[in-house]
Parts: sequence; C-alpha cells; structure tokens
Amino acid sequence: MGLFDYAIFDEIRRMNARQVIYQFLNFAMIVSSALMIWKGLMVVTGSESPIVVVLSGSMEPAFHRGDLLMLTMDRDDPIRAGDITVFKIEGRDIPIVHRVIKVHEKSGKDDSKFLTKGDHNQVDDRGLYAPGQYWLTPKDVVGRGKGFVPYVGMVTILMNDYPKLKYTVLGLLGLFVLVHRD
Amino acid sequence: MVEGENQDKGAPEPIKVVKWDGPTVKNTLDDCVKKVINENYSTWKERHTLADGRLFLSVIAVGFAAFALVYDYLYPFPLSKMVLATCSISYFVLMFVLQIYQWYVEKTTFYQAAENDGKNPARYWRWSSEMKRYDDKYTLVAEYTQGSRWGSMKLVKSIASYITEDGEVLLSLLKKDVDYLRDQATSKRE
Repeated sequence: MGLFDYAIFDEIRRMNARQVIYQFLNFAMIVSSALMIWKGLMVVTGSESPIVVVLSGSMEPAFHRGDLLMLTMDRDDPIRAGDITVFKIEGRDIPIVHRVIKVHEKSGKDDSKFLTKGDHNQVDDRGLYAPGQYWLTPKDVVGRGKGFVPYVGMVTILMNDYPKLKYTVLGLLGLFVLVHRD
Repeated sequence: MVEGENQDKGAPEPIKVVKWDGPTVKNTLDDCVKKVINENYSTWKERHTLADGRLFLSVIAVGFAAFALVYDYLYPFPLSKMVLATCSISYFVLMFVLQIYQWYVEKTTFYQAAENDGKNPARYWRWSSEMKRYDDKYTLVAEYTQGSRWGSMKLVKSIASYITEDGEVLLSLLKKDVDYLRDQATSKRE
C-alpha cells in the first residue's frame, strides 16, 4: 500500500476543487489568526516584541530560564533604577532582560544614559555592551517587563534548540489541518 | 447491516469509509448524496453560492492579514502602527462575520442546486444533513423554493441502512432515499 492509500486520505481524494481551496484557506486563517494576535499585541503594548522568552538564569530569582515575559513600551515614561528593561545591543539580535541600576539624565528624556545588571550576575553589563560603549540609551530599549508567565517559554527554547522537533511538530499540525475537514 | 453488492469488472471504485468515525461518515454520506444527485438528475445543476460566500469572506480576511504582514515588513513597527491596528481589528471583525455566516446563513447545508425543466420557473434546492456525536442516526433534509412556493422533507435513518460491515457505502440504497425525499418534498402542497 502506498502512503496515500490509507483510509485517512480518502476524504482528500474525494474533495473537489472548492473544498481543497477551503482547506488551504482554513490553514491560512489559523496562521493569520496567530499573526494578527501578535501584531495586535504589538500595537496595544507599543513594543515591537510584546512577548519574549527568558533564555538565561541571569535574573534569578525573579525570572528563570523558560519564563514568558510580557513587555510594554512607553517612551514617555522615564527609565528609573529598578526597572526591568529588555534591550538590544547594537549588532546583536538577541534581546537581554536585565535590571537598570544607574541612571544619568540631562534635560530631555532621550538624553538619559543607564547601566544595567542581571540580578544573578556578579558584575554589571558593561562586558556585554558593544566595544567602547559604557552606557545604554533609551533607543536601545525594546520594552519594559510588566508581567510574566512561568515555564511556558520552555516550549520555544526546546523548539529552537532542536529545529528538527520544530519542523516535525509544525509539519504534522499543518498536515492535520489540511487533511481534516471541518 | 446490509450485504455487500457484487463487483463486476466495469464498476466504479467502491466508496469506503471508517464506519466508526462519526464526522467522516457524515461527510462521506453527504458526498455520496451529491454524487447520486449529480449523476442521476439531469435537469439539476449544482450551485455553489453558499460555499463561494464563505470562500470570499475567508479570502478577504486572509488578505488583511497578508497586507499587514507585508506592510510591517516594508515599514517596521512604529511606522506601521495604524495599519497594523486597522488590519488586526478588520481581521477579527471578519472572523466574527464568517462565524455568523456559517451559523445562520449556511447552517447544515451541504448541497445546492437549480432544477430547470424548461417550462416552469426554476426550483432552487437546498439539501442539509445532521448527525449527532456518537449517534448512528443520519438526518437528511431536502428543501426547495420555486417562486413563492416551497416544500421540504426530512428523513432520519441509521447509517447502517447504507453502509456495509466493511465500511462500503451502497449508492443504490442511498439513491432510493434521495429519490424518496425529492418526490415527497415536491408532492406536498404548500
């Protein structure tokens, strides 16, 4: 028996053109729903990355690896020491979640400089900044942590560490949606 | 359970279904009713207005999502805020509209046709079906409208009346009931 002779594929063989189009549209709608929820969150929170996963243990005991962090971005609210900010170093993709420990402010809000440090680290983040950079500025900030959900982010970490797992799971889900009617 | 029919050399491939999978059985029986009608009633022409409506709504919704995706890619976030907000809201509104459409307009209809015999005004048929979860009773309803007249007829039978032990659907038995529904619906005076 070839792969497609199995009974579960009987339904697709009997589908006419309209139904096939609808199955693909169904799949597209599921993807679109996820996309629109994500973009909607971006608009509501003001942050280009409204949900991030904590990748390291540098903020323990506040956040652990695998926690899901909700961010908001309010440029009018000045950055103060104690704020948990998510920032990106120039030239690097991965955002870092650490606490602000020192702030220097001049006239306007965009003039401020601040220094960060992970709660669990021994030293401040100067070792992480770009060569020659000793302070962060508001434009490096991607968002400020407002809430978190524990453990849920482990799924993302697993899928990124084992890409084959990610493709298999997504592939099977996609296939299931395409083949199953209603 | 009914006995299987003999297969002769020129016969079309038998339609098999996993008889314990409720939703699939219903879908298969619906497909078989469509097949019986399309192959036997020459004056009937299948219509797809309801399905097309659903496809149209879905395409528009996905269009909004795709537009948002492309726009955000070309003009990254803070610039695309208004576009993303509008597209997001429109998408969810359309999803809601689509849901309402499926619940109240399309309902359980799986087949539409226009019957044209040349002399009378066209008759528009709508066939729908229902089957409860874990139940074996298949309800088939045939309705039509012809100008201001209308008629309908319902039949509830166990799927065992049409499906053999091996899961083969016997079209001849189904055809008898399809003919019965058509005749009864049109003969009742409304």
